[in-house]
Amino acid sequence: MKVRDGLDRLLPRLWRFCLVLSGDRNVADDLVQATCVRALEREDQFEPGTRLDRWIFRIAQTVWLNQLRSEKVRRGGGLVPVEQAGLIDAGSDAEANLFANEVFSQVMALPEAQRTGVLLVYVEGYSYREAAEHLDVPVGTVMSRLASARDRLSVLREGFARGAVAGAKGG
Amino acid sequence: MRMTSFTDEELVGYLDGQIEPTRWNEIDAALAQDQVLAARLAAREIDNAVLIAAFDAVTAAAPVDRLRARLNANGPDVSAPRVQAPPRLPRWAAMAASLIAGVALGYLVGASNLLRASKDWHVAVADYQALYTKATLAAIAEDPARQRPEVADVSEKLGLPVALEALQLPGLDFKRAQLLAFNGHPIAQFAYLDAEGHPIAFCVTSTGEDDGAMTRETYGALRAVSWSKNGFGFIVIGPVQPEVVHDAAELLAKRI
Repeated sequence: MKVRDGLDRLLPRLWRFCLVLSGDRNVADDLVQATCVRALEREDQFEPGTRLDRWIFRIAQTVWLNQLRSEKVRRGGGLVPVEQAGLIDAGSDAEANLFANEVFSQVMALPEAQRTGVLLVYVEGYSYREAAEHLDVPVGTVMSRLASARDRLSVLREGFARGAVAGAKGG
Repeated sequence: MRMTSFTDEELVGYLDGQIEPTRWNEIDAALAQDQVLAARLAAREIDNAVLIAAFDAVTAAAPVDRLRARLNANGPDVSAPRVQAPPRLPRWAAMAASLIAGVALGYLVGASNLLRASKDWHVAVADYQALYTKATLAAIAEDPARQRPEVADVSEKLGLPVALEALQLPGLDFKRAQLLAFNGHPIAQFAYLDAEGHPIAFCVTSTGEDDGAMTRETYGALRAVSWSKNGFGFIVIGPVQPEVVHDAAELLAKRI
């Protein structure tokens, strides 16, 4: 399959991943761009039959780490909350969207390592082992980050109990 | 034996179903007797479906047009050797050439976006469907008492009458209806499992497009058939043989 075609389809999820990594919409835009360039340069290294999304995400992670190392990106300790206001469209179900925004804000307020773990495992469906390979850390580290993340996300429990996000109903 | 010596990490692994089965069973057995443990577990519960829905809403907010324009601006030959610098032109000629190139690029990007527009929600549906596993819907009972109001609610928000009966398909078990959204527009998702447990979705959204004949599409391991009618776009999609989604699409198109 053509990496370019796959990249085009993956743009929304790649942007979301980059947003979670960087915590900043503008940085996310640039990170997507840099990831796309790198992926296209290395197109011949993609193994057909394996998952393109995970290959691309891994490239994004590497690009991000390299940017941090070369200090091209000023980082506020990974604690700067993304300016997420208005990111989730206030549609017909205002309460559901408010809670969706709250969920997203709380996840984005987690330290970078925790929120990336949450995205990979709970949203993108990685197993602990897959997430550990992606992040290049032991499985125990992934588990410990997820445990800390769940502790912090307990502020959302009441909303979770109400199942207050449209689209999650009936699940 | 007291069973309270489980770490937070193990409890989270229990919730996520990602620890050794023996350890999982030990925690499961201990929970029945140990209220402190049960409380520790309850404090760490999160609703994955809610998280996924919240993050899907973020995906819908991605500046796809801008990202795509930048991707396309890389050209089809990013990995090819750099072309030679063009022969030097007078400044006014170079400016005119870049103006023309800019207009042409804008036109091309615009045109390709137009072509893709109707596909975008298909892609979003395919991305979402790709996350479904055999287990995602397996535990949901086919209970008309629950499904009927669910379908009615989704149908009303979609703005297209869909009866529970119209959704019944031979060889597929209808599991649930739920409302998703793409770029702020509601998408109705009707979820099925086939006899082997493969998840199949029938999705509908208002597109305002002209009527369109059935078209077969492929998204990775997913096969899909899409069509348009009366301003609504329809797609049936799943990791199954093309005939399976096609047969389902034929029946659904006749009924809805």
